[in-house]
Amino acid sequence: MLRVEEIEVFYDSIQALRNVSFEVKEGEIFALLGANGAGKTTTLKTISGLIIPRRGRIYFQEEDITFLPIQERVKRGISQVPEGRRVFSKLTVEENLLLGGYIRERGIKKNLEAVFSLFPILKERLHQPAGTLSGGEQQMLSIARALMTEPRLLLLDEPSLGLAPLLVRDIFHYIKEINEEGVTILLVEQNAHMALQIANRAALLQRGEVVLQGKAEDLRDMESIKSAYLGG
Amino acid sequence: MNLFLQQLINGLAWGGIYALIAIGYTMVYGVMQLINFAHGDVFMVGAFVGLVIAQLLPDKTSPLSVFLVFLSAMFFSTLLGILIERLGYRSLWRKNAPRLSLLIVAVAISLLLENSGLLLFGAAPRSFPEIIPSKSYFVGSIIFTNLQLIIILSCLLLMGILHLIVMHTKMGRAMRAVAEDSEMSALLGVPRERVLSFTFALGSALAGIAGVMVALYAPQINPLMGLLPGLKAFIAAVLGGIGSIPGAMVGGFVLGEAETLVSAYLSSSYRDLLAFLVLILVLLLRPQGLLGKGVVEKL
Repeated sequence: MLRVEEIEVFYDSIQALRNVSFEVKEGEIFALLGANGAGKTTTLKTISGLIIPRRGRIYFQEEDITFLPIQERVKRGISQVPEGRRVFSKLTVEENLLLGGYIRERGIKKNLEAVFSLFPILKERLHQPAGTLSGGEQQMLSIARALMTEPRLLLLDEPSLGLAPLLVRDIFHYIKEINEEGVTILLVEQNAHMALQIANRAALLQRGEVVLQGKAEDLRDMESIKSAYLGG
Repeated sequence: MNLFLQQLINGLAWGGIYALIAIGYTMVYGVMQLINFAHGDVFMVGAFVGLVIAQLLPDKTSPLSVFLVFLSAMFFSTLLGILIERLGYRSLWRKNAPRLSLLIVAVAISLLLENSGLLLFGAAPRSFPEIIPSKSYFVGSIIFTNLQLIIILSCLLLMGILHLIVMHTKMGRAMRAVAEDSEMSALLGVPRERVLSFTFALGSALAGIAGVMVALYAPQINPLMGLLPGLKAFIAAVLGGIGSIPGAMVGGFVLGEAETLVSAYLSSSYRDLLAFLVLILVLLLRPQGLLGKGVVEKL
């Protein structure tokens, strides 16, 4: 579904990604792991269109989208939930969701209902400014807002960051549920332990390079991953 | 006491006009962090469009003529605002150019419009036809004119319409989203360039109407007339909190009142001084403005 081929990204003269290649298959959860500064977020931004790579190509459903504007990628079904939730804090929960549905002419009501059945709490908070929600609720809103764009591929950047352990479990549960509805998921996480539990396959980034790639259960068992990312 | 009330009423008209212009500054700042210094000249163009149309109309004082004068001023200044954004700022904005580059372009457009005006209409002030014949009303010993009343009421009406657009339409929602987090709105597929265009259109429409109001109130116009009211409206926007629409309204009225009171009780020669004094004080004591919130610069 998504094929990233040998992309190289630079911030001015500093190289952030070297020859990064991987493929996300339709219907799976693919986890992109790595330490701070390994290039995970940069990879996501390149896929969503916030960054244009200096070299390499990105294909989505066999179409070259490397230079496509962000809005066109959203229309084709790529939606990014950025790190830090980024809800519009002064706007109400409802307005946040409607902005997610901005590009869709039809079916907004139906999508709202679908989102509310997944996150009933958002329906109760509908007319509240998003800034007054708790961290966990904001994360739900951020994911719900992305779902309003009707994504085929959902890019999730550190969805568990800054949440209490119990909430982290909830969020991962929701991700699994969304995936079961047929949305392919590319998940970026520092919490490798949780990510590898729900992912089908995964890749490990180190200093801008993919150093490992394979089935999630294989990576889970690898000694090097255990010691470096799973805490022994 | 009567003098004071009288001055308050006089100040309201100017306050409303400053507020209308200030809204354009603050909205554009909201969506692209740019002080559009050409905005005062859009206001001037509105006045001149009004003049040209008023001169063309046979029955200048009929309600239809008055309506046409305002409508055409609004139409052409909206068009000008869209052109300024499209030709002046957009390519720089796309390249994520430094804010200073955009500011330099703003000053250049301002000079271009002023000098084009001088070329077309000359530097001598032109008197604006009296399309609304003046009437005065007395309440006790306080006088106010029909023009003041019209200006104040139209300002309030326009602000009401603006509020509806910004708070209750899809485009208004997109404007607020872009103002709060431009990158995030792009990730949702919000067409940011169309939002910028719409914001310029809206602000310029208000400035064009304000131009005709001043032309009627003054009642003469010249190609440099946008300079001082433009700067003062900018100060009003800063006073209210740049980026905040209610702030621009409050800032406009506060500045209009303050100016009128200073000219009444001190001396009218301090009138222009006051605005800049206000700017310095606001920047020193409360840089976020009356209604603005403290902003942490993102790294």
